[in-house]
Amino acid sequence: MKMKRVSKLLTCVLSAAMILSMTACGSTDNPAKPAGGDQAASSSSQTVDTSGKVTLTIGSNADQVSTLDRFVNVGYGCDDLDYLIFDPLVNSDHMGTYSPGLATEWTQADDYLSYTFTLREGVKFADGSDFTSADVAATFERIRDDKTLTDTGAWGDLESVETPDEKTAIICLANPMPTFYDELYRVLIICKAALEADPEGYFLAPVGTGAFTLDSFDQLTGQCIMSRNDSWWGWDEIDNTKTNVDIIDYQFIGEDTTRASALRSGDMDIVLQLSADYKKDLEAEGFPMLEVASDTHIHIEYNCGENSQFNNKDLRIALSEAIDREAIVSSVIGNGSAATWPCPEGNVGYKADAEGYKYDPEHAKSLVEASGYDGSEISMVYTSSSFIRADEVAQAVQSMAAEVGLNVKLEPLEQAAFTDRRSSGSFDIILGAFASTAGDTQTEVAVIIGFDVFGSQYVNQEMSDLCAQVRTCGDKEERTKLIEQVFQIEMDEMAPFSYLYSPSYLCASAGNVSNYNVFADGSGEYRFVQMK
Amino acid sequence: MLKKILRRLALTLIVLVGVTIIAFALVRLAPGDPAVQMLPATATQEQIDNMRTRMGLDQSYVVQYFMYIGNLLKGDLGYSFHFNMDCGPLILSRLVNTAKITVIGVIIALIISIPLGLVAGIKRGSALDTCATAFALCGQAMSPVWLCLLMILIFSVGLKWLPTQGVGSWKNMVMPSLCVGFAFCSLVTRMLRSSMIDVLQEEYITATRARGVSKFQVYVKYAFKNAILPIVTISGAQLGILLCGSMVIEQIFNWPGLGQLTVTAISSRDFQLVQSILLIVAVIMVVCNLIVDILYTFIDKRISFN
Amino acid sequence: MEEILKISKLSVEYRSGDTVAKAVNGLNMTLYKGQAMGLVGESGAGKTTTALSVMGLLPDKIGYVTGGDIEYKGQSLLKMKEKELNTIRGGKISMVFANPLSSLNPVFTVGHQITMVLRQHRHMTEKEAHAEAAKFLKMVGIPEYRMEDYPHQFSGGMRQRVGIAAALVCSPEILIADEPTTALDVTIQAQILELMKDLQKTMDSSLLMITHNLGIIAELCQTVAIMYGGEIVEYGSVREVFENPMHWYTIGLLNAVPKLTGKRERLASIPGNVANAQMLPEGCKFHPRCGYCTKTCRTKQPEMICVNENHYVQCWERGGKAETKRPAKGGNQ
Repeated sequence: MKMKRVSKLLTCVLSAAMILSMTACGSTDNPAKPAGGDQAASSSSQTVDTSGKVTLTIGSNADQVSTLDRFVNVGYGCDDLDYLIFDPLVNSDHMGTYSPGLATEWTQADDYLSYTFTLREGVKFADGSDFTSADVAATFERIRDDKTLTDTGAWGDLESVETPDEKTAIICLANPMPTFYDELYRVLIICKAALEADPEGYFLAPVGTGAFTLDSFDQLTGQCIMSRNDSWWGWDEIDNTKTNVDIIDYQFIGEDTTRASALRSGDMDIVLQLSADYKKDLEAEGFPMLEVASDTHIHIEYNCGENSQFNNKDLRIALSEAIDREAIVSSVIGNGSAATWPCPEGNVGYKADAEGYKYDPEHAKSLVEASGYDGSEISMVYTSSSFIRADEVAQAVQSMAAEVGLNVKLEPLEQAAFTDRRSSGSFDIILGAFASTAGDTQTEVAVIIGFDVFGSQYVNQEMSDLCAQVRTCGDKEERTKLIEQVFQIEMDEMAPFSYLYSPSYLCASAGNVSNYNVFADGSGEYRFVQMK
Repeated sequence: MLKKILRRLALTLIVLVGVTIIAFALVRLAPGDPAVQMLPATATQEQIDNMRTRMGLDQSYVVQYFMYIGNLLKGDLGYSFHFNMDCGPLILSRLVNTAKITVIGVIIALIISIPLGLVAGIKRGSALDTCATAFALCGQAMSPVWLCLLMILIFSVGLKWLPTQGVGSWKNMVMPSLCVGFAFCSLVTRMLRSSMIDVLQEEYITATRARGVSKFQVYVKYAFKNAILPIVTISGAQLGILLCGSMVIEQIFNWPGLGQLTVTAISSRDFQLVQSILLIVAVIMVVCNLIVDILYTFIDKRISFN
Repeated sequence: MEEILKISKLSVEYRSGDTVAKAVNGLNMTLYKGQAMGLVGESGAGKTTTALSVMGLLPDKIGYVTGGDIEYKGQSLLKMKEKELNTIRGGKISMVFANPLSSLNPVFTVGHQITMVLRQHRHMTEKEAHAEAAKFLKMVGIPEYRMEDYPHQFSGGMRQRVGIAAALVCSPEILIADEPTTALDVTIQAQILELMKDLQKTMDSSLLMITHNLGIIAELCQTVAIMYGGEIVEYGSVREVFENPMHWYTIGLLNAVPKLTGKRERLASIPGNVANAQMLPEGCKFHPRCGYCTKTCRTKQPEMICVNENHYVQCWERGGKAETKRPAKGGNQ
């Protein structure tokens, strides 16, 4: 009998211990309070590896890459790596400002059909060979000719590259490319000789002119280890503070909590794109945070087809006015900015003083009644993977819509199924996201809206005409005005999209890391990092 | 015996053919166009059509199937458009990774669970038995997510003994292996315990003791060999399942294994990869079960290999 | 004659949860060297419990010896440590079990199950043990080449022979046979019995034959003890007890054996059920089923009375012959 009592006691103790440990986990207060990067002891042991080199370890949530060819990959991961290993002809702040890269000067023809570049002297590839215009030609010809590349859509009008001499390259287009420079800085110049020598393997061990050279690329995990290139031309030209980082170790970690844990445990020096939940805690633990406005915006797309419910302007406006964008930004997401206009702040076509998206549930209710909405289900299709907290945002929209009498049914789908439903038009509304490139809304206006790639079936002749003009307009000022007009129509008609908010990226670093930056498209500037 | 094995392998081949058909059909029945998935949202129709041709999706289903089988017979498992490499080496390298943590996890699990289950069954009702049973129930009920996160919290963030994620040195294998082995450990503990309890009630155990054999020998040799039989049976299936990779564990620890690959392949509609993975998975399950069946006949002579 | 096994006032209980079953109640029994004694009783009488108690193999945490002692050659078995007990089990006192199928370990060869006894007690090498085991198997009529076979490859009779071989291989002084032929058919039964008779004679060991079959006792044993409700109710030489039964239970048992000759009669049976060990009756445990039950029987536990040198009985009525009242030597006091 005594044994029985002891057994029972032990069981109770064990159970209690388990429950306690569960609660300890649940609380955000980490009982072990690891040293925030401020303490040099813990971080220096992390950054200096056995050979005494300064290593910067970056944890990225981008899709893992299996090749370093930017034109085959999706996501910013490859961009990050390519910007370190290669150089483009022009450098950019990813928001429309350009500075010399491998080209020191450039001019554009009046008809916008050719661009002439004067190339930088004395630049060498990592294998010692000289950088010449032939490399530029090879880079662009590859984009034009290789049909296996998937991300070359923007260069559809590329005709040829002329190389009158080793230091001059002329890019010729069949039609004007309004976003030429935006696309240009994303073209990394490759080494022609090395590519021809090993066409299959070049992008697994690429040779570039960049600030870092590739030491190893693990195709299995995407992990890249790169060493600083001391003879890079940019140390003198671009920025006076040459980085003191000897090695960059870039890793792909898809799981949010794992990235945060890796930072906390000292395994990582910089972690990218955490959800806003982590901001308060990591800051309290001494990890400097970097918050950057992204160029993505989250929208609601209406199915404006003839037989669909939202072929009714009142209803569209009603739904838009039912949504409290500020509440979503502050409560559901934690950071970002509520949309006041069909594009994020600072993007091409942005109107600062616009009236913007209203939050007026009362008015919305009356619109709902006026529209003749019969209470039938509104199917909202979305995919959880398109942006952070998609599920929660969808639920918020659903409940806000319910407040004004709209019966929204959520349909979360897997990515592929989602794409299918969108292109086939079998939805009432879609909660989706789209990003502009370098702060230029050209693709969205000219292609997405112009060609109705997202299947909204919205027909508006005035808008279509404007979009067609935008497509071929070479002059930026004029184009900006046209885009503004398109957006104005979009606001007035509340179609095909109603924009909700623009998320921000939240990145965190160890305390001894400084001078890194992340751009609106998610890629970052890691070439000038200083580590104490 | 050899003949029986060969016959079994022949039957297996039929099963595998069935698997190829099912895999082939499933991928094509799922909503979503693989070509569209591979391209950015702004792809033109021409690009989509090109992609479909590259993927071979413009042919009729029958032609596609026979091309697939034809390639298989040549040893070609297809090309992964998402990863831009051949499926064969890709799956193999991922499988090796998963196998690493699985094998270690299973070995650790067995090292812990066999003595634990044994003693729990022998000393039924004791404090040790209660602890062991509680531990086993814990393991079965515990969510792998919670376990993984807990381990990271304690060992990486708190104690800084082990790296958080990824592959690197042997240290990276510790936590994923433990997580993989944990549920298996609980299962074996529980099963062995109840198996031992059943066996110890058998008359032949009393008869063995009546011959003067020490208690220790009776438990560890004579009872154990009988008690281990159901565990051997179940281990085969379990091992197969574990080798196919745990998505959760691999995702959290960023371990490049087969589970992670499978989910990525499916969500990106990388159909050739999906087909090949399904086939490999089927082969793994078959081989594991075969090994277990053979092993079983060596332990229990009442069973003939059939 | 030398006393080789002496059981005095043995009481054994089975405890499971809150229920207590009194399986053996104040049992007294003495086995002499070279003697074959039969222990008779219905299922549930406590025969197997007694055997297991001698071997020290009562089920763990369920069976408890609550009183009395078992002495082997003067040494108390109940007080012995496990290690010492192990030298006795299989070496000095062996047991053959009732069910030949379930008393052999299915995953070990038959040869191994015999050599294990040799290796345990005689510390023989593998080869020596093998030879010795082969010898004994031959003795029980199983050829040597079958040593590498597994129990499921044998018939019931052959398995029982294996069990017997394993029990006898170290020439024990006492062999306890718990219903060795119950699970076998009659012809095989005869063979086994013949075998046991021969072996007992050749090896001069004592035999405790537990059975409910009176015929076997008559064949094999010199003395018999009748057990009911965990007690010996009558014991003595086979001749005495069977020709002159005094306890109403014994009388009932003997009557219950169907006769092949003579007039065809209804099968006689003893009314009622075997005493429930969890709820034993007051007084004489057999009284609820006895046709001659008196008031004393119902209330007072009968004493063991010596009828003559070879015959003791524990009954108030004693088949109507209640005259002899000499108390037994060293009986139930």
